[in-house]
Amino acid sequence: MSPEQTLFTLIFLGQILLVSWFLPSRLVARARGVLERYPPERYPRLYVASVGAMERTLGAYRALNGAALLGGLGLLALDFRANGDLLAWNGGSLVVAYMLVQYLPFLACVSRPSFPYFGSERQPDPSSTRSAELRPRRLFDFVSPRLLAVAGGLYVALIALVVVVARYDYPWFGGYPNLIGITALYVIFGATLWMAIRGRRRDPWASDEVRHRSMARAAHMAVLLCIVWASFIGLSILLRVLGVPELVPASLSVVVTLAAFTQFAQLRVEEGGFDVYRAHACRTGSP
Amino acid sequence: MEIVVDVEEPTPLFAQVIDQIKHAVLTGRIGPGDPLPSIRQLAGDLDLNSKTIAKAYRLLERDSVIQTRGFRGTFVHPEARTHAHVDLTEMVEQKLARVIDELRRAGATDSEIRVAFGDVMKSPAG
Repeated sequence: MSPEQTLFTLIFLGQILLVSWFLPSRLVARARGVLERYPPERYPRLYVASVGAMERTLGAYRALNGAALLGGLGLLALDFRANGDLLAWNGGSLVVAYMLVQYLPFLACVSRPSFPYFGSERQPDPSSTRSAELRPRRLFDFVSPRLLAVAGGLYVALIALVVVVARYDYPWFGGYPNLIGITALYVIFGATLWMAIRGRRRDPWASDEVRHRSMARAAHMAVLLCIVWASFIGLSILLRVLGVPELVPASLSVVVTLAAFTQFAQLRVEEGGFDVYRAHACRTGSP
Repeated sequence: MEIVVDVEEPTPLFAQVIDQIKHAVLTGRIGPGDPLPSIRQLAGDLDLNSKTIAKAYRLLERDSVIQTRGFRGTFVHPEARTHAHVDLTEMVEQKLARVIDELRRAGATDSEIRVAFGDVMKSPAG
């Protein structure tokens, strides 16, 4: 095995263990912590589903991640037998496919089941009063201008890179259509950012302070993920131009792991904001 | 600075929003040039129809309590403190009451006044 393949094997192993074992175990521990500290008998407004249903979902989440973990280790074993040619095939396409497999448990057991918490299934606020801040929410209230400048600068750099590389006839390079993909990436994350800041109040019980913190975290996540993926696109083009395409799968694996950590960091338990979910609490802001 | 509306109060919601913003101006909690949330943001946060907030903003702008500066957003009017005292609805009611009283003393019936009022409202301005 070449040094690049060894490097990739180690990085990919890290991706398998971190994304399919470490992060899910932390998420399950957090969920259990919430169930212990804020039980449904005292905080009924926090729960849309029964505790039994939540436990089953957590169990399914652990099982699916376990399957992804075993699948990843199996893939690594096969790649080892193929002297590193399997996962390096087609610029790391199997790494991308495996990344999607690793993301499925999160989608199925965390992301989709969380929708009722922000919909009509949540116990409605019985009070007739509604409050709002009399202050516009601006982008820089939630994301630092420097971070946005990095994202913006990266976009300009990527465009310049594509324009420069397109002048040379690299057979592997898709040319100017890459600009569409890069712009689409920014549009998607821009829309996510906009929805995080300007979207409707999803939890009628959350205080303005808690809501503000959640929005800031979601906005940061959108910008950071955009930077992470844009950096990968630029890096993969550069690595190929420099004649080391075998490093692309390793860099992709690093990016996938970083993206998973970024998303996980957003799923924090908001300390101090749970009193509003008590059975007879008044919503903050009520006269 | 928070705005609070009560959906079960008999006062129309747009009127509650107007009253609260005017009160905020008069008590100095918001000052001339201070930015205000967009119609969409305030409607979303209060979980109200955006037309309700749009009506409130329209009337506030008519009364020169707020001003819209295109894409830059909505701001408190420089002369808001002076104009916030003026209640156009109250003025309209007072003037109408005087005119109706005059017409009644002249012998017009309520029905005649209502029909005439409707005809005048339908006719084009000027």
